[in-house]
Amino acid sequence: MIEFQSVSKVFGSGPTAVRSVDDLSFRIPKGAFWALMGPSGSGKSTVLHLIAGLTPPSSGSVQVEGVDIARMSSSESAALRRRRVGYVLQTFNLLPFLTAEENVGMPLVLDGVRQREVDTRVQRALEMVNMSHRAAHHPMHLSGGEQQRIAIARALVIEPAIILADEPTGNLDRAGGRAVMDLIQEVNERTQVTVLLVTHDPVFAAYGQRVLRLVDGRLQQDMTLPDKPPALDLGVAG
Amino acid sequence: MFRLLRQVSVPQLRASWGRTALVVSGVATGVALIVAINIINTSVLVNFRRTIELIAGPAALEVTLGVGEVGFPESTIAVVQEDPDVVAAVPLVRGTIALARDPSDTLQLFGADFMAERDLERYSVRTATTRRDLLRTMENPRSVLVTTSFASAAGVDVGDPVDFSVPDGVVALTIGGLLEPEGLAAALGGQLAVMDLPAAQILLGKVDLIDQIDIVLRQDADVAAVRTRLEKTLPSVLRVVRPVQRGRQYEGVLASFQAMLTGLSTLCLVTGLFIIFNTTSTAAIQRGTSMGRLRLIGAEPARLFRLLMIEALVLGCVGALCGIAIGVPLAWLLSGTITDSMGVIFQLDFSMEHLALQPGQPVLIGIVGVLVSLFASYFAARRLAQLDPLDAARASLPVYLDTQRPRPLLRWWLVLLGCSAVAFFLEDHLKSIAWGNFGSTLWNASVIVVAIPLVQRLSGPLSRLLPHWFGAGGSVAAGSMFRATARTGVTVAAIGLAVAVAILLSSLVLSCRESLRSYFGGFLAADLVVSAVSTEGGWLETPLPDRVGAELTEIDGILSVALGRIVSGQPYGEHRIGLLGLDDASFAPERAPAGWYREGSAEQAGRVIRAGEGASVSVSLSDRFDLHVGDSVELESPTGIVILPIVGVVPDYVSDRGSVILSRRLLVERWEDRTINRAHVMLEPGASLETVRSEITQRLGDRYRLKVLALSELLDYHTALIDRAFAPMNSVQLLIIIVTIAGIFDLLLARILERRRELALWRVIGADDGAVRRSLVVESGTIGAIGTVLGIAVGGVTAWIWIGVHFRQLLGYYVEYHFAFGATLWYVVLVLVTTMLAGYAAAAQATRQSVLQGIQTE
Repeated sequence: MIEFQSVSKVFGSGPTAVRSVDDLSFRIPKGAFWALMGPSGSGKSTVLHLIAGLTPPSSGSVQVEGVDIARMSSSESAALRRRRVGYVLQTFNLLPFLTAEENVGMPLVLDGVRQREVDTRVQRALEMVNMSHRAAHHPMHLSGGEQQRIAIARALVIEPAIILADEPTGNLDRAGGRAVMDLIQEVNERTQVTVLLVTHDPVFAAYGQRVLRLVDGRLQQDMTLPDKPPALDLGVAG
Repeated sequence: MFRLLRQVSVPQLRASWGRTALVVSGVATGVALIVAINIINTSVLVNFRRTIELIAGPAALEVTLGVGEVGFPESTIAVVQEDPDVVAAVPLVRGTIALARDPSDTLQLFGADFMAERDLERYSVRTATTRRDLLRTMENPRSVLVTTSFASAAGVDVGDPVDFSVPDGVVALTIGGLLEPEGLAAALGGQLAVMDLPAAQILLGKVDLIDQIDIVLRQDADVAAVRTRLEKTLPSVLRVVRPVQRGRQYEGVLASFQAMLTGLSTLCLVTGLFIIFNTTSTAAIQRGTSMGRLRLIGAEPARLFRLLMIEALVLGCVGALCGIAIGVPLAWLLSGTITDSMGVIFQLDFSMEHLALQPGQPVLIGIVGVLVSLFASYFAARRLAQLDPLDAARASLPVYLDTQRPRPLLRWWLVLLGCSAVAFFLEDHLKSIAWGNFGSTLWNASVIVVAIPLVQRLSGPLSRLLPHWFGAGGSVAAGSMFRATARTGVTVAAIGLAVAVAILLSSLVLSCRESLRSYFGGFLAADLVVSAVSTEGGWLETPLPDRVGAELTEIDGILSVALGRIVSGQPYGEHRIGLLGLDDASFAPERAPAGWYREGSAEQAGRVIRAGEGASVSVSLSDRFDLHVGDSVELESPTGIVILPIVGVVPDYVSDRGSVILSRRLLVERWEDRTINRAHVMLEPGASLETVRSEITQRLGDRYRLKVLALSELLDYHTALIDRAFAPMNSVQLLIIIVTIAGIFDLLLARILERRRELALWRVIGADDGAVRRSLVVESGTIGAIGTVLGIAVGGVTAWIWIGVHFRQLLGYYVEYHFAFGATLWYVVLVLVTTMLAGYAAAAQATRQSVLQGIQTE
């Protein structure tokens, strides 16, 4: 489903060059829920950018559903994000001038889906995240947790093969974060969507079946977790 | 795409409605002004042609001397009538008369053989009076027909005696009948009077002279053959032309003025383009995050580009439609000012019966407006569409969008500068207005291009000076200005151009004023200047008989009287030039100010001109026709060709096409013109100006409607006329400045408001509201100051180029360059106050929100 083969990503050149990802290789199977951990600047977000086709690798190969990202044109990578990859970010990235339902439907509108179908799928996505009652609200009138639910609904509405979640709980309190993680996990289990989660927080990383730990762009640790939901009291002290 | 437009564009455009309105008004202002000027230009020409056609009636040919303003012997009619194909040769004499009690109310007097009534039909003039009454009353040679509209405005009716001021003095005429205000009467704005030919000749001081013969031919006559025959038979100075050809001579004269108006109105569209460019660039920075997010969820660059260009198309169309809708009433509003201005400059009456609307032209101009909107939006749209989705999350997005490399810009600046210099050289060399307009456009563009490198160069010194002068506020202001130098440069350029345009027009007006002051207050200086109150449409007063001069010399206290006659319609080849006939006293060497003679000497020129053996020519005539001292000028007169050696080249302002200055004696002898326009009166030492003035009014006031002006009053009279001539340009300037100020205000506000988060952070670490206000006022004030300095430099050079090169080609007048220091000082104050107010307004908004709100601002 997602395969990295000796992938490196270098920003800049000469003495100021920064190796964000360094000779990274892994393969995420379809329907898996993996987490990426590591300190700031370890290259976690760059891994997501590479998968979403937002930036090409400097060397190596990134394959998504069997297609080499590096060979994709700008339009093809845009289509990939529109149809196959749902992206959830820490800052929600909602369009402030659109209502919640319009935000959710935007990828479908961009894809030229008929409005009637857009409405149906948006309704379904909002129900999945329990936000139907806030459909007509603008982002500024929603709490951080609600905005993130809308962002997840936007990722889900395209019925993606992959959800990339970059610190989705970073702007939320513990309870809100847990609710969002429960939701992502539920979606993963229900729809068999592949999830790659970037997080600093070991509690949320524990939602994944497997955790990769990056340091300076290299894979430092690869842990497979037992197949059970995380204990509720794990993060209370934190 | 429609859904995207509705969901993405509409809410954003609605949210920033002020900026949307600015884009629409940028297009609308430019389109409205061009549409209005276009309508007026077309209307003037259509009206002019119609008037000429109405005067010509069914005539196939016309005989005139030059353009029909210099009279010729009445005996010519008999010669024309001898041609076998000529059915009728109808004489016409025309001139300007005025109501004695209100000499500003002037009428065009036509002397025609109207007893046969044929002429009235020929002019499409219908009488409101019955034919029997008309013929009976017209047996009286003092009877005159006026239009019903004039009679109503003047409060007179048939049979009433009315005093008119005519070249022969004040005469009482009887209203013999009324003309319906249609046809020719309507074309002349109702200001038409018709009299029997001999009576009109006497009143206009043209006894035995006529201005025009309209020739009606047999139906099957060969017009070209008749024309050739008549040209052979008639004296060579007389022209036999088709009526439409005569119109073209005037149209050629008007073309340059109309080109200037079109150029000025186009400048407004260029300003609109600049405003749209600025506004869309500002909006791009505001919308960068949203566009980046759309890219993140899968929008392709091409689709976003299309979306933004469709927005520009829609806004452009709305602006163009508004512009067209405003343009028509604007044409009504401006038509009076513009025709008045044309009248002053060209000494012609341009009364306008109705506006000529050609539907295709506004549509075409609207399309140009839409294209301008698309072009101006293209750059911001391209940048936004190509924005990397990852940059959407950047905190420094505005700076990212603002990156400009200085070196290519400097190269472009040099290229534009070089090209504009070449264009101005070609304009001067080829006498081509088009090259001048092209050069002006490039020169203005070069200012926009150089502003960014200029700001980059200033960043070093100002980053040191501002903190030194204003402490932390100065430091923050410098940081904000110079990290986004492209946007600062664009704002500086906008301010610079607005100031430059204002300085250009002010300097142009001042230069014209000063040149005329040194002309009328130097070469033609007199203690008192006596002339008729009424004018022939422009500044030139209607003629008076030369006996006025003799009567003036009899008045106590008057030392000498020098008479002057200006013939503004003298033919010169295919052109119309001016003749200035002056009495001997005017050519005394001591009357010429130092350096007055560009070629020749005052002593020698004065001697030869007084002897009637030569003439001076104006600088404009010399330049236009490459005439210099030693050459000769050939002039057509009623008595044949007059060849005069050129003995001097001097500044002169009696005609835009150039003029010949000669002895009035020669004018009387060869042009058989004994009228005068002005009498220049010198007083005896110790004589009281007021006493002499009062004596003149007492002695001559019952026979002539005179104005007797002291030198300072005469200069004020001409200053007021220059203001009238430049009134349309002032209106255009005002529009440009209003739109530009709105744009500058938006730019300054936007650049400050988008930093609300940063300002909030500054407040978190202890800056109070006063410090924020000071910093923002320092920032906007500094931008205003740099823009003003740039504007003064550019305005000074632009005015110098325009006055030295472009204005000469546009209007024909050669004026001395005077920089408008006083006006510039006002513009400096205005710009500084405006920019600082913008900074203050933004600061008020930034400090109104809580620090926490500011920090949370995305």
